Amino acid sequence: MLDFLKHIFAFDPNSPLLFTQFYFWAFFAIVYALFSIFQSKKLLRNSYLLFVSLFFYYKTSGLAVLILLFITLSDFIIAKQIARNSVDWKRKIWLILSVTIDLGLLAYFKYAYFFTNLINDLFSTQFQVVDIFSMIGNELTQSNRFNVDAIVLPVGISFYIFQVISYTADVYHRRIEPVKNILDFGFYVSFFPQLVAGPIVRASEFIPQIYKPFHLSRRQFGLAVFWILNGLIKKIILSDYIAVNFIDRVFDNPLLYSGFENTMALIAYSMQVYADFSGYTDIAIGVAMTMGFYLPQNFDSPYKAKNPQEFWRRWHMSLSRWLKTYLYIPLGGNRNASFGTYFWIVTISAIALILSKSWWAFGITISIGLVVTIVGYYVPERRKKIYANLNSFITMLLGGLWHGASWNFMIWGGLNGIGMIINKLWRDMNWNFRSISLLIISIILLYIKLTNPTPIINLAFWWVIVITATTLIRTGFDKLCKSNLPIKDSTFTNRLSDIWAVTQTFIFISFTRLFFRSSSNLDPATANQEAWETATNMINQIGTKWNIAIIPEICWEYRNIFLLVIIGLIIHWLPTNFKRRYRIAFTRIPLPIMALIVCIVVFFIYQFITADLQPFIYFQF
Amino acid sequence: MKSYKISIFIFAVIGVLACICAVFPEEGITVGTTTLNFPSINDVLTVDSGRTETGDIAVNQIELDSIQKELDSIHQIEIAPYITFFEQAPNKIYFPNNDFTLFDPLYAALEDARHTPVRIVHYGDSQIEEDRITKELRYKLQTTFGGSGVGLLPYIQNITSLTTRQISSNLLTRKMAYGPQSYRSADHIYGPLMRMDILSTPTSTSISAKSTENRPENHFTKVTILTRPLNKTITIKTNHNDTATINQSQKQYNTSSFIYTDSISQITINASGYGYIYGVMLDDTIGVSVDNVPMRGCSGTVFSHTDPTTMRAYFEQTNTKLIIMQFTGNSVPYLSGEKSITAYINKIRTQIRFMQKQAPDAAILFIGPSDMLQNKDGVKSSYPLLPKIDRAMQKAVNEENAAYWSIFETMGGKGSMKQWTEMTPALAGKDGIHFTRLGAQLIGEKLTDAIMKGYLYYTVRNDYYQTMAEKELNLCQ
Repeated sequence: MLDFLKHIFAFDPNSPLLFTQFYFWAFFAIVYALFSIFQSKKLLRNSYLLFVSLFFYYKTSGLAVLILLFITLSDFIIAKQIARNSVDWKRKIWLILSVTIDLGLLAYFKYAYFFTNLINDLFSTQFQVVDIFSMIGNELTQSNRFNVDAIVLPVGISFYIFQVISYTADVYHRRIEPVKNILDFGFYVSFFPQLVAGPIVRASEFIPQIYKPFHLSRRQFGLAVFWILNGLIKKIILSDYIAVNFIDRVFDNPLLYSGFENTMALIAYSMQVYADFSGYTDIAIGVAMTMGFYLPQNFDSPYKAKNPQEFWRRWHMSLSRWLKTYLYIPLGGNRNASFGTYFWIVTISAIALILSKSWWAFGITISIGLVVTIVGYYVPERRKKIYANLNSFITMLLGGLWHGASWNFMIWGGLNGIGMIINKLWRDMNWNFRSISLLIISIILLYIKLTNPTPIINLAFWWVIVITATTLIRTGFDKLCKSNLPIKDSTFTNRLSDIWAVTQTFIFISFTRLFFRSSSNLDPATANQEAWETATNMINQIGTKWNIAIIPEICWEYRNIFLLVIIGLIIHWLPTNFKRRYRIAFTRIPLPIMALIVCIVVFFIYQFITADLQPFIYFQF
Repeated sequence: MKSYKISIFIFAVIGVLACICAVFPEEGITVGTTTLNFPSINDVLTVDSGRTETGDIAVNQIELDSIQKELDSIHQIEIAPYITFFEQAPNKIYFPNNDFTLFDPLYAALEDARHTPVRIVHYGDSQIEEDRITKELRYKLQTTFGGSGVGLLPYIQNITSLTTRQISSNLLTRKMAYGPQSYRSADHIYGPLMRMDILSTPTSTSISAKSTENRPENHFTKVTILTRPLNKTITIKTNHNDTATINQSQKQYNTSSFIYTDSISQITINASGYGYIYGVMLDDTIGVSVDNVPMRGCSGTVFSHTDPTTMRAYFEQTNTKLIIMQFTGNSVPYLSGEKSITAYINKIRTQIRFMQKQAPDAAILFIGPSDMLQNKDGVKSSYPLLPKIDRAMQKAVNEENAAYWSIFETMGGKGSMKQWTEMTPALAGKDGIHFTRLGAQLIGEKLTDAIMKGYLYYTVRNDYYQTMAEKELNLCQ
């Protein structure tokens, strides 16, 4: 028992408080019992939740809680100064100071290795990364308690830094009034359900809630329970189980698996990454809701998207909204190019140079940026579209870099940006033009495939062939509709067209994730090498190692895994209204039966936690 | 809804779950083929510190960096440290009856390798795929005793290697001694790779070094193609203008060699006719060759089911002095008790005897299982019987007059796999079974270290005997 209590209250880096562990729910039960006593007094409730949140963060990240406190204090004070000043340039200076501190800290923790590599490469130096906070800690305690040799990324720093930037920027733009009480502000920044993995809550959405008394209807409580169960099922069954028993194995050693297994792993990874992230967010939303706080929706069935642009409106919505408000629009949005646009073109080119160590990469990146800008300048009728595309591409690239400073994240962001631009251009083309361009691309790829066959060309060729075929069919149908024949667009054909668009978007997004999965977020050299190796090995297998004869055998042996992926995707693709209906039905269940359902679901989930590992099956391919 | 009601709801759920914990049988409830589990109260309250069960990790990050230094400076060490090494080091080789002379013929052959080529064959399961472990041993031996090339490769390569790139014009039907039954050949004449590609249509294979680095494995001066013609002559042509014709009347294991005065790093081999192609050897005319023979999913119990004549011929012709057999990992999940362990060990004994019979001049080094994780009640932990399996394997292998090397002990014993998976960078994959490339490299270096320590000990012993002989001679004079 003593061990158990110690485990609850002491920081142990091996046992952070996670939503999927019993310790979190024991912690939450105690927290909620006290919350129900304090909830009627707003200041007391908020202060209590602040204290609990800081404790939660301490349990998760140890002394990084001091960074959270520092950020809270600094942005609280600066926002007050901004609000107090009426002179624009003074307000701007305070804003710049705030953003510099916030991004400086983020850069230190997230990009220190990246910058050290840069300096070493540019000046042939041999600098090593040192954790200055640990050095200070050792000085203060006169010990060697803290490891100074490596910088450990504080959990959730990317999320709460973006959150405080949104607050200060909103105060600067006079969208909100600054928070009067530091305790309330601290509560907003550190509210534990969303602290480590979002959603990124904007001040204007959350701060008004902290001044309202606790209120939760019976239905809302039912909904909160539903989100928690939904999240746990997604996280443990659809994410962890599939990952451990299939995806991790293939991604760790792609060369040991056939092209079909690699393809399935890629598709399953799309399912896993969604179930993992959205599952965590669902639990966060549910837990916050039980305390009367509403967090914004973070995922809206993203794999229902019919194009990459729509995907990003449905995926990690709080980040997409943040990037749109605080990056895309200030860059000029869909109207213009600003100083920021040019600044980022040069910066991204420099990053390309640093990461690739090739002046070619720099030259190509900056040339593309310049050509696009010049065309935009001299072709006024297309200017808005060109600048909008340029700004959205920069936003996607920086969004990629937000995930980590390495090539793989940049490629991932870049591919998403290119996907969005191509889709926009595609929508502006007529069917004839689409068919002809695809035919030309198919012929070019066929020529390359015959003269220089490589796995990536193989893949690209077959993908383009499929798209060309469907486009030709669609073009033919379009022509028939325009003819005198009694053939017209119908709900059925529109539905078919939507299904095809959703499939294509899903495949495209899954493919970009080849570059997303990396084991290291710190050392860019390691991250680059590992991610690049994994991606090329997987492409190599998918592009060459197919043995159709063994596919039924593979499907049979992995039937449990594949079935779960299929079930997950079917649930994902269920109509929104249908989902809403069963959510409402759940909220109406009497409380004792609801409690029983919770127990049954926990029992069911536990079977997956304790399930035997799927034995290794080797197929000769 | 009042917040206290929510609090009651939460505690009610925890209460019901606690009741289930209290009454649920510890061994679970079996329904059909599935066992339902639920933790006991004790399980819930027990703290998993995430530490290893022994807490005794033999290999750490610092060692990773110092391995090369250690290997380079090894020749400085005197005899006493060798004794200590073979008694205490986690990566020591267990010799039968502590007879360190078992490998002496190998070491003598290595010393003479600059005159007479010598070969080592490394068989194993998927842990050795991609040449991940073998290449470390090959590099050390070739840089020390001479020799070049990667050794024996299949004619059609299905698994990418870290050292060699192979592109073939088309796939040939493959038959193997391992894997599902449908892969078997009716005649069981598989050859040294335990497989054969059945040549029926003209096929070309281009083999080249993957790296341009000046490492011995990246170039070769001798190319040998191992074949067995069936009802048609086999014709071999290379892009270096070599031709060989293997007549159909020679319905037996056949080797066709081409020798180059200058070393090359690429060759394209065109084969036509009808018959088996057992593989292609890329070697030097002298020095050491080390073959990497991964057998995916295999437990190492298939050798005795193959036709021995081809194997015998290969070992004899190539002057094979050491056969490494690295298996057991694929069997560990099924070794659940005394009976199954004994049955498996008996099969391994048979395989060792079979190999000793086919290669009487070669020593056998058997490598046991690594530490492996299983999912037990939601917690990943080592297979509980692993220490027992490792010890039993060592005993049985030594009783068969073969040497034993324990990856399990080298890693740090029970619980070490968990640490290997958690290290940064990770030394083992998240499955808790396979090594990462870095982990495999480390294992390769540890194995090489053990074999080289044995060699240095051999030289020290030899020097001692020589000095003694000289002293005796002086006394007589």
